[in-house]
Amino acid sequence: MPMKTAIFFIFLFSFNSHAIDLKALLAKVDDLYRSEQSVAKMEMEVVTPNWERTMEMDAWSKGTDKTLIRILSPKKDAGVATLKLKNEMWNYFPKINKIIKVPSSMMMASWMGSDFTNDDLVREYRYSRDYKASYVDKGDYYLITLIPNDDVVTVWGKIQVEMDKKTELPTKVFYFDEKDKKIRKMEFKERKIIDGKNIPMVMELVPLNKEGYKTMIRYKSLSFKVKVKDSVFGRKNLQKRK
Amino acid sequence: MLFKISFRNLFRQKRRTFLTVFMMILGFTLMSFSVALSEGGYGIIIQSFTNAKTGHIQIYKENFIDVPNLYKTINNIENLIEKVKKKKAVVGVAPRILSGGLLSFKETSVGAAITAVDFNKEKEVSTLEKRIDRGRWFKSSGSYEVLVGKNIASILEVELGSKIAIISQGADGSISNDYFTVSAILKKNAFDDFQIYMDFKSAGEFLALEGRAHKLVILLDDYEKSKMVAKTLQNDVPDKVTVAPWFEVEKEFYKGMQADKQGNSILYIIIGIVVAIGVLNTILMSFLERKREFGILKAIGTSPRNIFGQIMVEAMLLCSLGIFGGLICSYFLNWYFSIHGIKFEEIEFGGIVLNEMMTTLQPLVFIIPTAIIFFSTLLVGLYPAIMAARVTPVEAMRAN
Repeated sequence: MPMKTAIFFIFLFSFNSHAIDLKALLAKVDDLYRSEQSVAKMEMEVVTPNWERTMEMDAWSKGTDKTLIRILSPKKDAGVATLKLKNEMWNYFPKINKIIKVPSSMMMASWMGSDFTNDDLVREYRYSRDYKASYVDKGDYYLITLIPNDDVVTVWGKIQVEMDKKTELPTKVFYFDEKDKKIRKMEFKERKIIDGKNIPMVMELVPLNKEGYKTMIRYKSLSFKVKVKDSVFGRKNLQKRK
Repeated sequence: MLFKISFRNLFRQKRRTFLTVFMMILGFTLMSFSVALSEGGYGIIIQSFTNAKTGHIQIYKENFIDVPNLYKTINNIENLIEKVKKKKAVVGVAPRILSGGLLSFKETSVGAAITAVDFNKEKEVSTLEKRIDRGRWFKSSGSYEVLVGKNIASILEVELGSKIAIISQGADGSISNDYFTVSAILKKNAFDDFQIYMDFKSAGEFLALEGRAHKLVILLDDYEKSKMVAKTLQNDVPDKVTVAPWFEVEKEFYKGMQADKQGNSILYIIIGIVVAIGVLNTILMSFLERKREFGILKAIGTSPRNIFGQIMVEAMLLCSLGIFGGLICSYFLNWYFSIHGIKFEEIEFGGIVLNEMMTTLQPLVFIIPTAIIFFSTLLVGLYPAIMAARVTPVEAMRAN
């Protein structure tokens, strides 16, 4: 008897050691570009069938609650800034010197003409907490399927993450609508070690329901070992032109 | 001779004939009046609707109406406007830009549709200026002013002279943002819900769409010419540009109207059935009374075809009298009401408020009742006529 029990437990433990800790992996995706505080310089290239533009911006963040992004170039948009506090968003336009709160009705509108929506920047839900997760082992990577919990308000009916086993980093994320149709794809490329974290420096978002659109964000510099003051996320700082 | 006999037969029963004809005239007039009111009413609705905003014909790129897109523009507008103006039936042509944006005033923001209208030409194609409740039209071409719909004005709590910040997407990818002064607030109506109107030239600058337009709106001297003129214009426009008459632009409105009209046709059919039953009654009675007569006629050698013909001609004569009388009565009735109209409590259809209906003297008003009465009489006459033709002399002579 004790022999059988022993074998049973050995089996159980060995089985567990092959199972992955989904929650922990997903938490990594949630906190990919975040730490307690961060400062970054980014370049965003937007491609549409009608025009192509590259914008340079500075970004500050503290936790998941506070983010400030300020556009540096091109000249036409220089000084335009976006502030996110929890799940509210404000835009500042230097030309008219006005801070405008983005109404919830415009949450699905594009952010700065890119393929990212205002909602993408503002959303508070976490893959590790607000979604039901399941996965399939695909050899080199895990295919994780995420279904939002009932109390989560989101446009995506389903999200699929391809997580590389070795680096434990996402390589691709697919977004599906309520009818299970692939609407967009995000790719993470060019990994680099920043302040001890393994980070993809390039994010490429491609809408799959229309032709000729692409948004690529490239981190020119990124630092987690910084102290970001709370005042950075205040009205006064939002209105600064530099 | 058949004709003479049938005619005389009709007047053997003067009262019955007269009553039947009278009933046909009544039925005809009722149907005619109903069609006239309906066509006239819809005519007014279409007129008001197209004059308000849509115009009679619109020119745009590809399928802009179904899939609107900031970049689907017609270029070289001046040239195109010149070409269109040459057509005789054209009363006015105006370019428009359609966009949307976020409006912000003090602490309130709201999303709105932006329509840019030409400083000079818009008055030739729509009643926008007349829809101003307070304030005035743009000061000049290129002024950064807006006409604001009533509900937007109340949401933002703006007044004349207020400066609204407008943010939108520029056609060059930049974020357009600037201040626009409220120069007018519009009356409350369905066309201007969540709409603001910008001057065409300033919108071109603001949205990086200089020299481009999303639509050319054309007004004709008669909305009925829309289809024809649109067809001829299609040859004058460059590739991938669509010329659409108003009912293709406003499909929903048009479908709604058609559906409404369908309801009316049921009415005509019912009236037609009632009249037909009346006619059937008359002819059948007249046959049954004369069954013996027909028996004798047959006995002396009258062919069944002849008897059939006799009854049919009687029926058609009745019908002709009815239609003739009906035409006269309905003509005068419709003529009177096409001038004086019927006033009633306001009703709304597709954004138009209607409080008076006029009849019209279009051909359809007379063709429909004529056709219905003619064919129903024809149909109804067949039964007694066939019966009469089949009469066996011996049986028939035993009757009566």
